[in-house]
Amino acid sequence: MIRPGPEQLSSAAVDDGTPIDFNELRSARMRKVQSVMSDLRIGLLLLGGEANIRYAVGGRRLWTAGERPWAPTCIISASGEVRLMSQYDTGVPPEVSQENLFCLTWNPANFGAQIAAAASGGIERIGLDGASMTMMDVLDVAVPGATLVDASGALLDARSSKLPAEVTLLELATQLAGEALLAASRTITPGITISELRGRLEAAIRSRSVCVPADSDRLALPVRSVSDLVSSGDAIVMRSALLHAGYEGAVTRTAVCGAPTPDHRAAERAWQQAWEALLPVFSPDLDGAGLHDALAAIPAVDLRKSTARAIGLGVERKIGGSLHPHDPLREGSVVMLELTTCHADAEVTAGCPVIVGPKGGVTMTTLHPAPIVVCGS
Amino acid sequence: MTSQTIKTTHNSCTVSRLDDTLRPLCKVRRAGHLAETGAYALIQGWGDQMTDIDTAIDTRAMQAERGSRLRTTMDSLDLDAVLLRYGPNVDYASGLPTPIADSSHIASDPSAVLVIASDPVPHVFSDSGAIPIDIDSDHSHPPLDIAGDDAADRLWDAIRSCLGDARISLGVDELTAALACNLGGLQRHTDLTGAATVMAIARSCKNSHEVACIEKAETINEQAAADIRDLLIPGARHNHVAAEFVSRARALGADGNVIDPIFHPVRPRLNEGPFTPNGEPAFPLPGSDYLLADGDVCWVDTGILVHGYASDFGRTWIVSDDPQPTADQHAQFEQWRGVVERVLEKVGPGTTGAELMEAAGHVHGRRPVLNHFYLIHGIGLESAEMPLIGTDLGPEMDSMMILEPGMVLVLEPVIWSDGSGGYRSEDIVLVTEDGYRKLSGDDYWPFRSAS
Repeated sequence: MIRPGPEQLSSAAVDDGTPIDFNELRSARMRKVQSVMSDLRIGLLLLGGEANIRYAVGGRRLWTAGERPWAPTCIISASGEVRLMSQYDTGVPPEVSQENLFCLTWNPANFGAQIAAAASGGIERIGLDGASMTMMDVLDVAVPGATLVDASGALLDARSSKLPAEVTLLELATQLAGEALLAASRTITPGITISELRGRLEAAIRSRSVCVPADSDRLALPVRSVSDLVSSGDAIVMRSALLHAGYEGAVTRTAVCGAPTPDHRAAERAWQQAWEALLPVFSPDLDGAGLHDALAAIPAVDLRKSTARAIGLGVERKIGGSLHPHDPLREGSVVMLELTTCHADAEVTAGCPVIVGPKGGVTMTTLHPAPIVVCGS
Repeated sequence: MTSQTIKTTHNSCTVSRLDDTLRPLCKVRRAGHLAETGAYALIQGWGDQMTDIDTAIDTRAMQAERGSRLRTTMDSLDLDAVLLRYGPNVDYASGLPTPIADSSHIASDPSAVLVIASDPVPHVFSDSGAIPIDIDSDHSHPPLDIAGDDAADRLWDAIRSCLGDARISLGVDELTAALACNLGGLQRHTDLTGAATVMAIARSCKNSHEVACIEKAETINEQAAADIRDLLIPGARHNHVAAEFVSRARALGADGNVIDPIFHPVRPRLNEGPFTPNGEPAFPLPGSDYLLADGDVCWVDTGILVHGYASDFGRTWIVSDDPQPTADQHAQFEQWRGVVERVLEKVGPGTTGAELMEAAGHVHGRRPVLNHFYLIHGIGLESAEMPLIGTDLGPEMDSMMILEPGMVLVLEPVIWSDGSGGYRSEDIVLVTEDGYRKLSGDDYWPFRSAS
């Protein structure tokens, strides 16, 4: 695994020393987007979803937590020409011309003007990955009579099967996430607060090359403790999830402050056995219902706490839960699998990405394969 | 890696508390600011100040008051119900917090709220484990499945199960693409309209608990910024300064960080780049790991959350072992103060945005704003929300913005003189019955220090 060294001046996703031809990767992703447009017979694609924009265009934008109201901040023509809302050309790939950048705007009419200009040749069908009531009014004026087409599902399908370079980037991001988790876990000592620990993990993520935290809410959670103060013997679930070059890296481990008890070790063995038992089910066509059944068949697994999410440029979708229980995984999908196992009063939660393959899942390499990280001793 | 190690010399120390394999050697200018133990010098009165603010925050009362205000606003606009999917709106209406996570995480686990004007308890549709305790089981539902060809029918079935079959006036904020492609399926049953207006009116005036949350967030943000500002020295890496900031803010009680912390050097001449479509200074650039250089003038912009409410800390700092603003830089700071003071003289109930823009005037032949932003924005569950004044929505919109008690305003004029660079800071004020109360601090280091 090649990763940025400490002195590497990686200023963007495109120059951090990974053996990736980012020009070719962006080009390959855009071809898949254009294929979606062709299949749906749409002449213009309006994107507001940040992950879709990352996929189609690449580049690096100011990261903010949470959502923004939907707006077509990226407009793609069938030819691949991109109009992008960006206040500067920093981090914008060279194939997006300066003339096609438009300013951050608060005025919906300015989006209408961009859409109308992109549709000037006469566009009958326009694809969307979302919408807002405000933007529906804008579209009525900008492209009257155009048929709107839901492109969100097709784009998600296109993104779900990974190109080889994308798998490499997911591995790199996961490596960075694991490093950050280990670095932060080494600062755990009795007396540290959970709030401090969350800050240290977030700082460890941000210190690595150019990474942003993907999920700041769940960085560190104490197991069966109501106190914010960590004591000797406490277990803490640490979730290191980050975005690097737009791709999600995720590692979860249970940090035990002090010596793990025999029950911790028993829960750890149960976790390892469960992981090995589950890997074969991660073959194409596994769906949420199938995963639920596989998890339910292992008594040591806490079904309520175990999760699976397809990842790529962030999270693509939840596997399981009440939505879309029968949507199958595809070969080449990558799933962040997190299992919780219990033994007596001890509980271990750990996980990392799994690549879906014809012969079952393959675990992405992590720095620390064991589910428990011992610290503070 | 060595943890919790701070080596001190006479006037500087090397910070390696977290991970010295990747952290640069950051000399800290003033020994004692970061103490040998890793403790920081808290702003005077910090403990009392935080206790006072915490006492003023009752999250259940805050939610009850928000719900009441929203339903009153719905009544005034003749809305029977609003369906909300946008995170800050969901939080406002129900108390279900928006995860502090990448947008892709939130989209994969969607929540929605249906507020009925005649029902004090909102209906929450979510898989989240964070359903507020005041939402009873009759009002708690699985997430809405509104993708696919029959999305509109399924959504109407869900609404009908809460409201009955009668035709209603319904406000909606965010649509799925599937709904956008079949709006007719909803319009068969409802008088459909956008929810942006009702939510902007409701959210723009804060109750006392909301104000206290913003004040607490801003206080934490200012303290965290003060604690790490000495790290802005030549050779420091931007992302390591950002890392120290988020770590410090968490330790001080922030629930999370919501934006790439910006410590962004701004070149004094526009032709030094980067390119911008409107010819304005490029701001705010995304986080990176560039090395800060001696004399860089950094426009700082950071934001953290407390109970979902944002802070907004903007200042201009200078990268140096001993930052001493030049005469030109001092003059720009004074011009910025002048704009703020002229605007604040006018702030109070009944003042329009247009009057505030007029008060701001022109400096160096231009409006003292970045043209892609604003002179003033509101702050609350989003770091920039209504009221927005001085945007590209134009003077007519500014004249329609009328200040009311309870609005929290962030004033962020920008002074720019091409060739000399610029000055940017942010002040936060609460509009009161008889004027305003400042919520942000008075430390404009290195230009003027409160101490």
